[in-house]
Amino acid sequence: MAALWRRLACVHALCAACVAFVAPARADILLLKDGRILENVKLARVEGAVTVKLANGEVRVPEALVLELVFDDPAAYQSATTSAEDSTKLAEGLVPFEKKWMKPEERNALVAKRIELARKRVEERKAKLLWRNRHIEKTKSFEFESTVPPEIFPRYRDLMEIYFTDFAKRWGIKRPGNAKLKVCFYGDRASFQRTGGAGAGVLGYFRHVEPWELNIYYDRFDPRGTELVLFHEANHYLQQLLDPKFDMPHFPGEALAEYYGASRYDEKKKSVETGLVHDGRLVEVRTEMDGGRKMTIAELVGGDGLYEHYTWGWSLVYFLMNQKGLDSKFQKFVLGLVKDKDVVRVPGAHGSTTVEAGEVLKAFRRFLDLEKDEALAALEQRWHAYVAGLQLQSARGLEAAAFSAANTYPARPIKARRLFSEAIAAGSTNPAAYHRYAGLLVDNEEYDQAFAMWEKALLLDPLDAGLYAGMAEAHSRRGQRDEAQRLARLAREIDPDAYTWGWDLEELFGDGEGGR
Amino acid sequence: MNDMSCNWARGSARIALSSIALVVLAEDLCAQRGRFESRTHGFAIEAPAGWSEIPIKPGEEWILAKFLSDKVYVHNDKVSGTHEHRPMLEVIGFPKQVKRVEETKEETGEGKTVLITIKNPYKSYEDYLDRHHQGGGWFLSADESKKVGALDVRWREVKIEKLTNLPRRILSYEYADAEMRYVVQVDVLESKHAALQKRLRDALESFVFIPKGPPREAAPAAPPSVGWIVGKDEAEMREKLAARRRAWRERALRHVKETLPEGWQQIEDEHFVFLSHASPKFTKAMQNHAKGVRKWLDEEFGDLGNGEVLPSVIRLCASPDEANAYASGSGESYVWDSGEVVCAQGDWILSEFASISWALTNQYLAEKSPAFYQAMPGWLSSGIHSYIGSMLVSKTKGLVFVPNVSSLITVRQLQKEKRLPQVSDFFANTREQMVERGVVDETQYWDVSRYLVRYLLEAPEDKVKFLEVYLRQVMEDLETYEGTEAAKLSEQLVQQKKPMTEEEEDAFFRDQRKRGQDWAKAFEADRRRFLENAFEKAFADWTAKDWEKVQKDFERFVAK
Repeated sequence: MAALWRRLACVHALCAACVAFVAPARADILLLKDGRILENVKLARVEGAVTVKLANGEVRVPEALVLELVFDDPAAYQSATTSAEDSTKLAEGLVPFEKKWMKPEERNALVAKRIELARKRVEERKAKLLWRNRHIEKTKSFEFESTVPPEIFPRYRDLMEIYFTDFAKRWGIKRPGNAKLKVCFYGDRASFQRTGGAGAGVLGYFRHVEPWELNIYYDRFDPRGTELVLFHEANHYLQQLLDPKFDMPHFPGEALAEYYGASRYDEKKKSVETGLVHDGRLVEVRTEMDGGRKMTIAELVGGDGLYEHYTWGWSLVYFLMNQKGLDSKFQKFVLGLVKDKDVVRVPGAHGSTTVEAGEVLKAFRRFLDLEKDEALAALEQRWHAYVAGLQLQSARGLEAAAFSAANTYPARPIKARRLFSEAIAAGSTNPAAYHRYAGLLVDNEEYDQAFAMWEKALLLDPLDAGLYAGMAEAHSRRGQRDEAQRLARLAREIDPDAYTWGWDLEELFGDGEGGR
Repeated sequence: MNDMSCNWARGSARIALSSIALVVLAEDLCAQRGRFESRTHGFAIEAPAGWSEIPIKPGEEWILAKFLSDKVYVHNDKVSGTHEHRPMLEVIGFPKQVKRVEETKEETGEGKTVLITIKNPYKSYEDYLDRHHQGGGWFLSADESKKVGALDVRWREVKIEKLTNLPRRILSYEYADAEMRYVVQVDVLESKHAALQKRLRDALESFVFIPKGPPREAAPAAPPSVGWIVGKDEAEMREKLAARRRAWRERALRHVKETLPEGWQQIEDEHFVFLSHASPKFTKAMQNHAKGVRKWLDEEFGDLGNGEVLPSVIRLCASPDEANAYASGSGESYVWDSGEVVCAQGDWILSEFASISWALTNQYLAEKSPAFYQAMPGWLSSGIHSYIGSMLVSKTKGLVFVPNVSSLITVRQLQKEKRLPQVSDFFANTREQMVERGVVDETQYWDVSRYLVRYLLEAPEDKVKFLEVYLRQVMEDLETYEGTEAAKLSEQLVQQKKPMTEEEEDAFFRDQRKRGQDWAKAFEADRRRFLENAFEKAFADWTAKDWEKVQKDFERFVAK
């Protein structure tokens, strides 16, 4: 049986926005800052955390992750009391509640009211997760429709406006008739795929025929990834504004979108920094280089609809935009595809025009003064050397490299372990990285270190069922069957919808329920 | 298309089973005109007047009833143009409990095999919608509880708006009894919703529970071409597989006859069971055509092998929409080979006859000789299909095979340019080799191969006996085929020493990538060598003059 952690690498993506457990004696509610809502649970406050008591164990949720909690039982709100005065009040039949003393019936009434209001808020929040109740808001340049949690939405709304303004200034674009682009922003991937109609591998899309529309989703496990996609897809819109009747060819369209995709928003300064390294794409290119491949400019720029336009294409644009003199030539090349009279355009889809791949290469060579083969070869060498010299600096980049080493055939687990370790030292906050690292440590029989990684992962996301399932398998390998079973059942209790490992539980324990 | 293929397992004693069988499907027809009753599930419903009941295909587990609108509605999209849509009403059953079925088989000398089948119903209607592509992005635009008569009902409306050429709504009512939830749903164009909603809602609200009758025999299992089969040797496994297939076909035939809706007629003969909802004239034409195809197949390939060709079920639907509605089903019950040939009465263009010809040919060859069917070179397979696809039945001339115009133009042009490929090239080389050498391009390859096969099938038998000799050589070589360059590389991959440092890992990574490319080249080399060897052995006593003679004959055939 292939190790669970390899198959559970993305299991947290399956976790629903709302989780309603089988009703226990208590029906407390927990709201997390990332938008998740847990209902029908038994909660307790402890030092620095809230515990969720489930049939197969307790889950500890750090307070930093908690937005609000609602106790079903009024007595749970009771403050601790210690002084002699307190004893006197208690003897008088009074009870403490938030630094005041009152009759029990008064406290109960206050708590009941609070619970009622809290439940109403929860119901409203849940209702807002449904697309038919989506939040609609217009800004200067956009019309947003969103089911993203209200605490999270404003950041993305603001960054879109600033991003648009920056790009418009640099590239000289305007909105036709001041029309606002509709941006559909879904609260999670499942609703994006369902309502946005996107396929399994799609992270976001820009509908480039009228009516234009941008569809993206908020990934609570990867907010930075959400930004990358948003910047990328919005860039397609911005490219479209260069000329609404022109379809930018796949190269440079996707490569430029990836270049701007690696922008970063500074919420405090209200600014967007562009021209950063796209860690994920750098990792892909470097992995190919490790395997002995070096893509040529002719292959890349002259190719049609290539996946490499995202990876090698990003690296070429990044290189050019970081070379004085070449950056402006590259920009002229892009604008030239749209407007230059010497570029041959052909009919595109739906009444638009475009440029075919061969002509794109021709224009690229002309605008960048690479008409001679020696000049092309020289630039190609510079580009390859530049990319080979780029360092992965961020935790996210190191994670991407680690995942690539662990998951790309043939796997390089020694390298992956080192990179995960470096990513964690660089401050990784991605529970999937800790989980995958833990899996590699178990494969290397370093169990104690593996469990330490899982403990850290649980601090980041205590409700990721995959983490418990991973620990279950590790215990199983060590022959600790009882603990393995408990953790496996706990995993399934937290996320009964993740049926993938339900089958493994059946296989492991034959508990008669199978997957669901 | 492959120049060489061999898909069936050799040397493995077991073939994996993925059975999804054993749910009883809808059956009984209306007690009153227009009213559909299912005694098995205990419900009745009235589709809108004029809508036709669509049979449920074998293997379907969750859809209990289907009805198709008699009218086609049109939607004009500004970007993609005009599209047609026919509303369909379905009743979908969601059992409330997970079913677990254990089956133990004792095999002499092999011990015990326990097969556990877990039937996992959809968690909810939304889960069902999520797992079936709705033709666009969707969301629930309404979700309420209400009463229909004395019944508690959940009413939902689904809107399909994004990434679709057909913005639609799905109206659905959910009813429930102790064991099942029943969702009755119907889809309608957004632009037609206002005009049709009352009529559709009346249909949804016509659902009632009726007393259940005795359970019926289970519907046929999934095709037994996959399954656990244990035998002491290949011959025994093949016989068991054939016996299982025969038993399955008998059950399937019984089932399709018993579940035929009103308005369909059933016509049986020695080789076919026709289930027709098409016009009598079209049905007769298709019957004659199917018989003509079978006659030709028996004459050309009758002694190809010893396999038993089972009776075919040919389902003639009244329209392409009806055929699509029949073919649609719940994803988890997808049956890639229901054993039926499904056709539709369209506009009487050639494609209707071509599709039945292809389907019957595939079935016949696969059953007559699986080895031949899977070993056929791509050019031969393409040629046979093109030839049989061109067949028509003439009252005066019998079977007529209309030449493919594009193929004819290509071969004549090549002949004019003195570039018509050698017949021997097709036997000795792969398509890639011929294209690489510039003998032909891709399109020309297929055009010439189709015409070559026409020649091989129409020339007198004594002139083309070599085809049979060659194919028998290929089949024989496949039986003994083992030990190849690609296989050796694969073994080497497995034998690699495990890297112990990062540097060793990186080196191994580079090495494996290169080996992957080497493997692909080795595989291609193996293919070419196989064909060369088969050619050399089959034509060992042939001389250049013999091939010249064949070539001249072919050129004459092209020119006439």
